[in-house]
Amino acid sequence: MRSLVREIAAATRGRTGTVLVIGYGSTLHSDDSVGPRIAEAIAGRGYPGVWAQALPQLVPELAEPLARSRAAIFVDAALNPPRPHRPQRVFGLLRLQPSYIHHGGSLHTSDPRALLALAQALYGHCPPAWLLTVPGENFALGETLSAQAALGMTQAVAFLDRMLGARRREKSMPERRVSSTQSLE
Amino acid sequence: MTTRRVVIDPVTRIEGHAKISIFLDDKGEVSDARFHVTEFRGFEKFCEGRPLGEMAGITARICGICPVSHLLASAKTGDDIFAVTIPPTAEKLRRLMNLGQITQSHALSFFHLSSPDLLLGFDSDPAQRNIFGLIAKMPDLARGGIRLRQFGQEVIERLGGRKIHPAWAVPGGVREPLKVEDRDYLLSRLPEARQTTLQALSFIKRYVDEHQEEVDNFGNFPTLFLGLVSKEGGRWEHYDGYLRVMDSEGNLLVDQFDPRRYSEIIGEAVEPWSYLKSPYYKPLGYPGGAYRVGPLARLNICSSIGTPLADKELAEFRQRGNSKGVVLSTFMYHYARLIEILAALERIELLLNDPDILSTHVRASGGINKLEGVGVSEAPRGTLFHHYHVDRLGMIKKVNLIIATGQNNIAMNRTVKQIAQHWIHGAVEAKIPEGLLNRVEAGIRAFDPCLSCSTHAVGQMPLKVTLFDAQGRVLDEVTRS
Repeated sequence: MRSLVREIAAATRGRTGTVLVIGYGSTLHSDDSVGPRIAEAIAGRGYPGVWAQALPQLVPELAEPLARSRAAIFVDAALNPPRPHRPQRVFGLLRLQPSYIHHGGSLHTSDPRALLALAQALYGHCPPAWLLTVPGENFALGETLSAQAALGMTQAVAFLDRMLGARRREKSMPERRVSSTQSLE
Repeated sequence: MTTRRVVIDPVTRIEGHAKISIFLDDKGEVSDARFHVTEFRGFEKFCEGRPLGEMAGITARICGICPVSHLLASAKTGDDIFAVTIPPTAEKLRRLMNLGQITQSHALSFFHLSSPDLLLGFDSDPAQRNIFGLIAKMPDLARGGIRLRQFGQEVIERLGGRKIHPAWAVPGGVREPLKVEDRDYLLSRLPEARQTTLQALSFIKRYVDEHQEEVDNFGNFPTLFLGLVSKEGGRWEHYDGYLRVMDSEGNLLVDQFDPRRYSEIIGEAVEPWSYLKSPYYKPLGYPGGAYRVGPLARLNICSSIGTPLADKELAEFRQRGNSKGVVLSTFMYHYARLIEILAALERIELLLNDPDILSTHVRASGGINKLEGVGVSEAPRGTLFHHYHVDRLGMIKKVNLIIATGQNNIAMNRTVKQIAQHWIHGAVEAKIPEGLLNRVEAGIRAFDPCLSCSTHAVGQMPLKVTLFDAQGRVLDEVTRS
């Protein structure tokens, strides 16, 4: 976890603006609510320079605050496919690149990569961004998290606490490349 | 015959999907086309046993697209069960929020989802035919569209706060009054929003006039139209009023009808190939009683809008209709949406300048005075019905929701069939060009369906278009996530 924190700090060093934490998903579909729950937990911490928002889904007007931000962490639930002979993931972290091919087309959906591309296209800038995913196992109608998602949420919030709380302390860390996918196991 | 299959699998956690199936006969002509939704409904059951007071907050969470619509319909159902008349300012504030919702939702539909087809062409490169292509070609319009949607969202947020689902409207009124600084801020944003809307209207009028074939074969058929109109004068309405049903010749089949009696005139049919229910006008039976709701219906059934700019546009809109001034083409939903944004902006200005809008008396108290209630309002996509039964303690015993997208189900099916029959010919051996499939899909897009509302599915659904030959084999399949 510590190395991830350092790597994110390095990628955002020297940049100004807020850090966005955008948790999205349906709060009526059990584990799908983990993104909004995490965003609300972070919003409740009151970190200076951090804007955490819980949303049912990504919306295009996020492009403007994204363009002004220092970094963005998108938080979403993910299916938890069986991984025989391997420990279950607690959460995953993926460095995102802007990509217009992930635009939702005819429907109302959006994708964080498309939002980054929208920020770039409209405002000439998009921040370094990551997608933090918490695996879930129950997406049926309901308002409680499964044990798996609850554990993932606890770990993900702890990770974000560390990252957001450590931002100022990490200024002197040497820069390292962030790998395309990492998970804590 | 060679069977070809193209599948682009979406990365999604959703098990259900929306699907358009196009069926060909032996000559490769379209014999039928259907729009289906494959996702179980379970939301109504989920609500049973919950307190009435929670319903506005819960139903608002059905969907990320139109939470305000459910919030308001649910609060109105609560008003009915409380048997209270809410304070005048509370009604004005609810109206204000609904107008913000109409603005943001219509702006998303037009600028993000549909205008790339119109500005870049149905047959243009699909890789470019999106908001990014629009930005490249008309950056000011694209940016203006995003800011217009943002304005609608700001109206909602200034009233309901920045919460994920503002449980702001409650039975009896609303939780918080409007602050003077929020009123002043929203007033300051209106000129730009109006300017963007007028620019887009100018564009759509030019497009309609220059693409008559497209418009004439894009879900252009007679149906009934249903929606709310004001109690006095039958004007455009979005929050309250009477139900009106009009036929395609402009004859009123139902007028000054209390929407709480909706079940007397609306039946709900179920087709084996879709979980989306198909409401119909009972006196004409199913499917003869097919009706359309939403922007096109609202503009057809109203006597006027009641604000000067929107009324001027309405008069011009009706000149593009039939001899009775009724506009039948589904394509015109796009045009109607823009007029409704203009109407919403004018009404927002009127409400914000009303001295009463800042009153702090915004909630009436009440209790369970009736065991059944109905709340009806106009969502951006059409008329929304909430119907609850409660016990004496106010616990929900039964829920029925009739969603706009469902009410357009029959018309959506006819639309995709008409478009497919007009554009797809001799397809036995030839691959269907993407642009033609895009036109069929655009027939659904014109209704701006909200599938998560209709089916209460998690997240959003991919839309799959499948082409079958006369033997039922898949010829072609495209999925958009």
